Amino acid sequence: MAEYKLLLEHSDDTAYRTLDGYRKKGGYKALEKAVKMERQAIIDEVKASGLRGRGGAGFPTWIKWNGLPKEKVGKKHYVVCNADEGEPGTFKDKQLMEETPFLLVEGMTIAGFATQGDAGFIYIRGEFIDAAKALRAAIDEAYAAGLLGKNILGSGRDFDLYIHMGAGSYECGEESALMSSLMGERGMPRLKFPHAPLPTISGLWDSPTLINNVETYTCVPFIVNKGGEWYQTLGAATKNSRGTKIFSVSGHVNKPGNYEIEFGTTLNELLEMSGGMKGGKLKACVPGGSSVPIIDAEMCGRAVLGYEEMSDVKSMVGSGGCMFLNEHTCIVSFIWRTAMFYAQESCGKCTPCREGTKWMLQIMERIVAGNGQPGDKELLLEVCSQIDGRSFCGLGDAAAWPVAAAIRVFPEEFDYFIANGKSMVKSSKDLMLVP
Amino acid sequence: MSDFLQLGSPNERPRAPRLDELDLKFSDQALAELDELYSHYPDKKSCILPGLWIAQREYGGYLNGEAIAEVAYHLKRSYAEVEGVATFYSMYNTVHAVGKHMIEVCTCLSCQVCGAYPVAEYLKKKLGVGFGETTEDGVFTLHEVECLNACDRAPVLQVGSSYHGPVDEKSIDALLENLRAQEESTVIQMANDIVKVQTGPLKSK
Amino acid sequence: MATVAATDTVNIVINDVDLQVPKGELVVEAVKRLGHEIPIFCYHPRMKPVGMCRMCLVEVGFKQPDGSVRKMPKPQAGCTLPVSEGMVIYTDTEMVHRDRKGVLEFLLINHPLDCPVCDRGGECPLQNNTIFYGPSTSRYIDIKRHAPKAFPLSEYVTLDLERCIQCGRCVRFTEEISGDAQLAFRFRGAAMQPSTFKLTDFDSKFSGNVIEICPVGALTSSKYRFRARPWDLETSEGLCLECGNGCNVWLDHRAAKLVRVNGRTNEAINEEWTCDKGKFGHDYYNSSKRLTQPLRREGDRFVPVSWGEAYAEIAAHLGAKSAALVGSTVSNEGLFCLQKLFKDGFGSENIDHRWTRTLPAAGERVAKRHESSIASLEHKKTVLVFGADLANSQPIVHLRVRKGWFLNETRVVVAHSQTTDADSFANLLLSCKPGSLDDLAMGLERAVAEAQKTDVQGFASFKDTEKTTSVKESALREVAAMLLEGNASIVCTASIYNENKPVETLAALAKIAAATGAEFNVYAEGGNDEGAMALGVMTGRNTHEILQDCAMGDLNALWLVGADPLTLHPSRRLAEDALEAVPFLVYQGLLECEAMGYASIVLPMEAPGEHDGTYTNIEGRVQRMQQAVKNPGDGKPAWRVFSELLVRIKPGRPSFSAKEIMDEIAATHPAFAEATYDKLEKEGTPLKPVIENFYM
Repeated sequence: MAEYKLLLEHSDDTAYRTLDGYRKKGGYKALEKAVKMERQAIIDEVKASGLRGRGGAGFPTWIKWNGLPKEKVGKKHYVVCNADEGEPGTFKDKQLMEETPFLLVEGMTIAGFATQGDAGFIYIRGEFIDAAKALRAAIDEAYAAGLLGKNILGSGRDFDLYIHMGAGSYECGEESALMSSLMGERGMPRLKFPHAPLPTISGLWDSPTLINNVETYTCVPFIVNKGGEWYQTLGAATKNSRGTKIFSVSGHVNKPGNYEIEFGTTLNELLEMSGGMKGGKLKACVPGGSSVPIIDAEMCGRAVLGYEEMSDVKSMVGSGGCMFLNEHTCIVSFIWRTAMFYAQESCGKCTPCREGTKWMLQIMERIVAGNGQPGDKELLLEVCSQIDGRSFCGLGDAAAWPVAAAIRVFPEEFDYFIANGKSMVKSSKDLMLVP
Repeated sequence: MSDFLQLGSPNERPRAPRLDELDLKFSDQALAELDELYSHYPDKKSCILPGLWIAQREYGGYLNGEAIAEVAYHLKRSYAEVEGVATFYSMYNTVHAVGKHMIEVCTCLSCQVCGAYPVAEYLKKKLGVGFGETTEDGVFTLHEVECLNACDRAPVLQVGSSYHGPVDEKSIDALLENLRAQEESTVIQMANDIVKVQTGPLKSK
Repeated sequence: MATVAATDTVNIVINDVDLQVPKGELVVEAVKRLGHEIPIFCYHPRMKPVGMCRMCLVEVGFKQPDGSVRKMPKPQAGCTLPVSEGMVIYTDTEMVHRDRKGVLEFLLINHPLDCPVCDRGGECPLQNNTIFYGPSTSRYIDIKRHAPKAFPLSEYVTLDLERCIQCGRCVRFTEEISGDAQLAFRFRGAAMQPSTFKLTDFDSKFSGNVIEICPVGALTSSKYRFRARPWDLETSEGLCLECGNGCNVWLDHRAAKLVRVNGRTNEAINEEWTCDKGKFGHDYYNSSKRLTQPLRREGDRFVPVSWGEAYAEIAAHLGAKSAALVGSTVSNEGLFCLQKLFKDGFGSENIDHRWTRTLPAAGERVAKRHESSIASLEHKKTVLVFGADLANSQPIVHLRVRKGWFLNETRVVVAHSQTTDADSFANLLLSCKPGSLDDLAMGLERAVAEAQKTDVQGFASFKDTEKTTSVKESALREVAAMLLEGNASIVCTASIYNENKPVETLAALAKIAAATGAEFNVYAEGGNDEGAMALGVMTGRNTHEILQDCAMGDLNALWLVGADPLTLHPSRRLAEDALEAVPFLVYQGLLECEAMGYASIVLPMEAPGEHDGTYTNIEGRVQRMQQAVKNPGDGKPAWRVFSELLVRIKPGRPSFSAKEIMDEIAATHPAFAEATYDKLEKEGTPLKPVIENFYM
């Protein structure tokens, strides 16, 4: 299958970033439609569309929307957009915010209408200043045009939208940590169901809160406009993945960038779209952001992009950050850097993640420095199993998976590095992976 | 209980400044921005992050103890709490003062495999500093950062509000040249940009 | 099968035992019902669960309709998981043991394992859990985290970051319990560490508690450092008399010397907390200034004498024209015997124990001093703290009020002319001009009267009140409305007698309380001041009059019982004149002090923990403290001195024990009827409410 541009259809058109240009291309038709719809009808459309969270977990979006109280009980409802894109290898939200800001604003406004939201917050990671500026301009224009604020489109309903900037923490992409950060705390995750109520019941400031990813919200105008029925025909070939998904392709490819595809496209097709491999044959791929298990060339050959389909190759769609690695890449050094990332970004709240990620990094550092000890590979696997499923939030799991998967898929590289103190891959100078 | 083995007299630990001893530096504009931010959230605590961004701008790019104390003062939180928040996030410069421009090299995964380390080595050599250090003239601070999420432009680096990538030795030379010529600190500029996108147009003005 | 008699229960299974427990109870608590234990570090029953340390991981499943159990794929933290219907919990499976071992291995990789030189060694949860559940060896061969050792965080608290396991108990204590938020986590990931702001002085009135709740030796007591090992310690149940709250403490002693004071659980009073004054303020036990034998003045110096000689001397000099001034740490028994000695032995009634500026006469005193028990304060809808700095004078009451605000949405109103610690969380702050508390009380009375549409004749207008107090009409009306909503408590302390027109202020507040149905409290301040008042110790001249009489030469003798007027009395000048002028001065006390310089006879006194005795706290709770340590010299408990002396003057049967005296008190004072040693309860026995002879 080829690219299917839905969200990114007008991304090259700079006029699309202004309200006029956006409206000319059919923008805000969905909101106009939504203000006349029953709240539940909007949620039902989202349900019919089969839309699943694009942040990485793939949770059915409508269940969140449906989870907020139908009758308000004195508390405000909040709509939050998770724009803390931090998963290594992913840069789709950045492009969406920079080039299609109104899609997000409109999507969030519709979500606000469907869930009786009083205010929305877009939590943007601190580094994305261009994206934030684009959104700021869009929000200001929308306010001026009565598309945000009081009595939107004469509906009698109000919705405010604010931008909250992060300040450099990967952990804040985790929805409960994001809420902590939004409430002025250290970006540490909060207790989750069944240990605490769902955020849709008690989230931000103990009020019902809806949190979705940027890409999820940007899908909403299309779903409302064209109907959930239409949307769910996209990706119909897959088991349970509907619509389009933007994959951020990077690494050793000729044309790195964002590619929007229908679910059911193969990984090979994605590689072709991005211009094929650069500098050597395909060796491995991390298909969905650094947290998902790495796969080798053979698995790449049969990987189909879909939430369930990817588990056939023991990996995941994740956030869609697809890194292709060529034959000159040393997997051990690559995993060393992965371990370093998680050790840097662990928030420190729980023991397994705080101590485990650091320990893994220390072992990996030892190995890439040529001081690997016999048994280090097994020790790494043990440490992974002591973190996986034991940590407070998903960051611990995400730190353990890539290491365990790399050892599973490329055991010989680890054995060689530990035994010989050097990589079995003869990297050229350009591919120096370790300082 | 005699004082025989007692460690430290009460005066040995410096005490934190009392609120009335603080030397407040926030400009009128900063206070107006804070006022605008208060209206976004149901409580002042939620303004800690935006407040720290304002402080980072007002205090010249570095959040020292006074800056943190001033944020705590305005938001009526404890010093320790605000310091805890500030030191959690990597973009607040809490550990040491930074130069006029901060060059943040991404060395994470995609950039790593696209040659970020040779780029970093080149920068280190060219500037004569290591990661986390500032050049003697106080112009550049070099930092290694985690994924900047612009992997299609790998290897990428961030200076102030802008990303630059893919970079090579030639484009780095040009970039440093441009930055040297620039009067305004990109560190402060960036903090200002971040404050501006959050407050939007100030209602009070 | 353990059952709970409540309708809101759920059926769960723990390790194959069926159990009925209250809905929503945490797994870690539910397991205790079976006598089982889940190891913990970060969990503390008095603070919100956070699930940080992951030590309490258990396997959890749910009963399916077909009777099978579906286990959750991941182990769950028992400290954060509330039980629900059909939950099946396993605390003893192979996986659980493996997880515990894993967590402990992680915790220990950066722990210095310097137990032999750690004060916590021997009573350390990390040590205990490692022995029970941990790995025997470590696979860690890399470099441990290093930090400065023994960093003095304050006069009392020493921080060792290498030992810290980042459980956050100390941080949460300062956020949730003491409320000063002096500690916070800094940095993140493996570098995360608890710290004060920029490592400045840990300035808290409750800092000592973090030493006790730290599950490792990261926070240790600077004062107890290297003074004993836990297994060398003997411990006794004690009471703290630094203020009138009556906190329960453990007095830890080694070789008959007190080395440490720790909080002891009493849910009615201090729960398990102590304030720093209470925890570190017991220096006098081992002080080098301790008085050890009776002394008699001979010219410029004191010479040791026997008790008999001292008694003879006193008996020869004291008579009807003598008086006694009492400190706040004399037991109920001591006070009773003192009264008897003066009345029956000397024929004098001049005893007082109050040191405030105003000393109201019998007719002006407030009839009720403690309508609210300490524990009830956390369930009030509104608490009005009027003119009191609770954190300083009633630290445990302060913690209760804050607990109510933090957990139970109690609205706290603080009315004061100074800043107090409670300002930081007060829902409403009535900050008035210095010296205007009386006007404020009257303004409030008017607001209540207006709200109730009763006559407001004779009241100052709100405008005038604002002029004198700077408190606005709207604020007063708001407080009145809050009080009228019911379930309110007005909290004052005896310190109000240091303010302007205290009698009028209290009268106004009492009327407000009566009109709104609020409970009214004027809590006593000193250790056993409430006991002195309940016993009706003072009947004759008051403190000011006694000192004036001394200065004028109207009194022949003055007996100071554990009190130094030079530091206690508001007018040092008067105190000096009195001590100078009085012909015969007896100083009975624990330590050498300034007043001793004027004494003719000096008597060593036993400290409270050195003899048996009962004390009455601010809410009228009578508690007994038994002897914990031995007096270092020849000191005697106050009651023994008084009763021995009385026998000399007026032959009769002396009292042989404190118990006997308490029986006598119970027989003669109806309020103490239930407070005999046989009947005293574990948490202390509240005085019987007898409205008789109440005064302040």
